Amino acid sequence: MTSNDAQAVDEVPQEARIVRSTGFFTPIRISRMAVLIALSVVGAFVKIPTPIGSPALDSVPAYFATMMKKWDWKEAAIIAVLARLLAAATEGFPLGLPVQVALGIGNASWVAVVVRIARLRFGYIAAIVATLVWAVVISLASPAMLMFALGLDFQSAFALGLTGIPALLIAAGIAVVVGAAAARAVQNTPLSK
Amino acid sequence: MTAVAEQTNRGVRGPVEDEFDPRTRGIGLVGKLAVFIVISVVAAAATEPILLGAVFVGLLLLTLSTGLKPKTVLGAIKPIAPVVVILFVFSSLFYKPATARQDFAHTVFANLVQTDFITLTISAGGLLFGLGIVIKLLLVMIVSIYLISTTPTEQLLAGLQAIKVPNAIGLMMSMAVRFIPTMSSEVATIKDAQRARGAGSSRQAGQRRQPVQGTLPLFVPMIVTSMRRADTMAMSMVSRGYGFTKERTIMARLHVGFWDYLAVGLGVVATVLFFLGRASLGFGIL
Repeated sequence: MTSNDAQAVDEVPQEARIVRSTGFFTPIRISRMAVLIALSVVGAFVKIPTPIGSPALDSVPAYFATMMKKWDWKEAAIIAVLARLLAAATEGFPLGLPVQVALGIGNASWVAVVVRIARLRFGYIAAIVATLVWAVVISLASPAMLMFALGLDFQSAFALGLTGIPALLIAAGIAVVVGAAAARAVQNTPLSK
Repeated sequence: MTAVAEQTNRGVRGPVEDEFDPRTRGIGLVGKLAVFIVISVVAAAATEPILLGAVFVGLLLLTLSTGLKPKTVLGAIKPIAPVVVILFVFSSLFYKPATARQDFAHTVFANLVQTDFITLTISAGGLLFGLGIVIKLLLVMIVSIYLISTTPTEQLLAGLQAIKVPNAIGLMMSMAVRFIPTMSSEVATIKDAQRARGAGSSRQAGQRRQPVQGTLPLFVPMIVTSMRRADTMAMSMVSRGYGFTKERTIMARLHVGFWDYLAVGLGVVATVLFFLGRASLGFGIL
């Protein structure tokens, strides 16, 4: 850039300058996260009929994103949180918005950090095991949320958490397997960039 | 700031347009947020079903007055009916009537289990506590529906921008909402295509027989199609100049009117009175 060009740039008012965004939120990241969030909401309508309830498959895209080696871990975290919130909005916020936000953040941290580390270091099987462990952990941790949000006493909150374990295990198990299968299908194609 | 930039930042609508926009009349996002916080706090702190029931009726009237159909509210409650029943049973049985503040709650109808570790009783206090818990659950659900379903998306995005959430998050959410119907129709297309190629309907995801096997052939093509769609969308975003300016403009402005101030004021007064009454008279405690 010559000195004349630099002077010309200085004369342009600050608000009129064009600045290209080079941060985390690039167009390809925004668009793929948006599409995967939409897919999560659609997944929330696909229920698996079980004797103890009908767990949905809204977390498949988040598991898919966390399995993709070339993607940033933050993408999986954002998809997990926003997908949980949007899916909960379509279902009428079961247990209320604060509990859903807490569940979304907890789920996102585990999926984007623990499951991703398991996947990158030890492979798909380790990621599936980490997910199943999470299903048990969140079921046992949910009493704290229920006690805080609804004022439940410890015993009934704990009992309620225990009853949720089978449905969560089924849903999380199916979601992580489907996410891993999709990641394997897309991993080495141009679509993964 | 230049006049054009100011106009762009302000949005294309002026105060006159806002005044005649029906969505900016009545309680806005700030007022709804106040209602949401007050009801969430009362639901967490109160245990008496009479008070909770009164708040529930008030909230239901407020929600239905916004034009939301009762069918929508009932539709949200229906899927969690088993959770409501389990919650009622557990919270009633585990309740310790001796801890109740009011005398009538001490009445015990039956002692089911009595050991050193666990006591299960059917009591008046337990049944009322269980009822209160169910009302609390419905309260937090309906107030969440009230906040999200009755606020236009642009207002929600303006609210997110006001609390300095990155613009990209709001953009992502609105794009995701836009793509839900497209994705749903794509799911139907994939199911039809699989059926046309001889895949039995019993292997479709969500069906009674073999429901798990059906998910894999459904989701993998869906994700691949989504990736293709995301690629195209990113190209169109770049071609439209996304990310080339520092600030993002927004159509809607965060409108704070008389009803919002009223809702915030009443909310603060109600919360203070509730906690004063709770501390001095035991108001709201079973």
